[in-house]
Amino acid sequence: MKKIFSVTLVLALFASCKSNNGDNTLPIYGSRRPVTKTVNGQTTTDTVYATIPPFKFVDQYNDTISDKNLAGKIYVADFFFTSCPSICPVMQRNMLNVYNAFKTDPDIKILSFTIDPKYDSVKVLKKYADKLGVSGNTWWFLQGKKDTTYKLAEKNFLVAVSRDTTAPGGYVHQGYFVLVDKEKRVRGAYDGTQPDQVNQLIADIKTLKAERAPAVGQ
Amino acid sequence: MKKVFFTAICLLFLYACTDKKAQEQAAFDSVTNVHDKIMGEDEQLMKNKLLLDSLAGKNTPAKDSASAWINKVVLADSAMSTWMHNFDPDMKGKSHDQKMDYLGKQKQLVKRLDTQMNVAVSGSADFLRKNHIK
Repeated sequence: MKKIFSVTLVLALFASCKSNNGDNTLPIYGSRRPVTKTVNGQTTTDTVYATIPPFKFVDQYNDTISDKNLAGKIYVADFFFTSCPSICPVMQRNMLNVYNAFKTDPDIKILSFTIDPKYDSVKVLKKYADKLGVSGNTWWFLQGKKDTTYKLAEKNFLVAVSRDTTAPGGYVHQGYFVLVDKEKRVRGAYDGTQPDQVNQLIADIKTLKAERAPAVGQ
Repeated sequence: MKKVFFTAICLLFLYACTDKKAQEQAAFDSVTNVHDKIMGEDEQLMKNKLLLDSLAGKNTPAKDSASAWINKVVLADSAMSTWMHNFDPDMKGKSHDQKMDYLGKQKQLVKRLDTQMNVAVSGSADFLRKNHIK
């Protein structure tokens, strides 16, 4: 019920944002602050948006993946674990559709962070990727310290979800796919267990790719 | 007559099969529902752990108690992780009765983990509150 409520709110926000803009610009989530600058005697005020902070994890090939590998890329992030018996198999099946849509596009990446690093070793993650038919460097299955992963999830990636729900906690294991733009800003959250929302995510990635001017926040 | 009898037997067999599958699915869902609830609690546990880590790193009288709570938190988290790793959702090669028996035992195990998790979450939260850590 909580999940349906939060997803509905997220979708409602998307709808209102799009209609307010009158075009296909996606909203920008997270905190923002105005910054006033004076250049050549002219005072201007810009809005600075929250971005995903620097991070460093290890992928299924035992390579270090950090925010630097994602500079100038659009990416989708989710949180899972390989032995998850409930929602993760559905999520990853749906994420395969995103992977298949963009696997030849070097500007799009997928990051799946394990929340069970105790058992999800690099070897286990590689086996999991192989079983899904994932190869190359489009989809990284990432492993790091569990509390670091949770902190990153709650404070940064899942801002769109946590802002739009009235119930506290319990967001990480709810199957959200989070869309991040080239400037490291969160631009959408989708229920990864619902194929129609995953299709919307694929459409929104194309919208983000086509975005030229800096987007206007909501 | 023979044809009607044969059809009735087939339908009965099909019904029994569907019923068994439904029973297995219900038993499976009852295990994973508790698991999903614990995953939400685990998230709160990780939040508490970050605060406890910060308190244990400071030179305060509560430092040792914070370390003791970290151990309890890690133990609860680790027990959950181990259960998830050992749980066999496919149950390949098991008969209906074996599956029902397995899922019944797993439900008991996961409920015990839920209790352990609740104790760790509420106990560590109380400790943090008493030490004015938010």
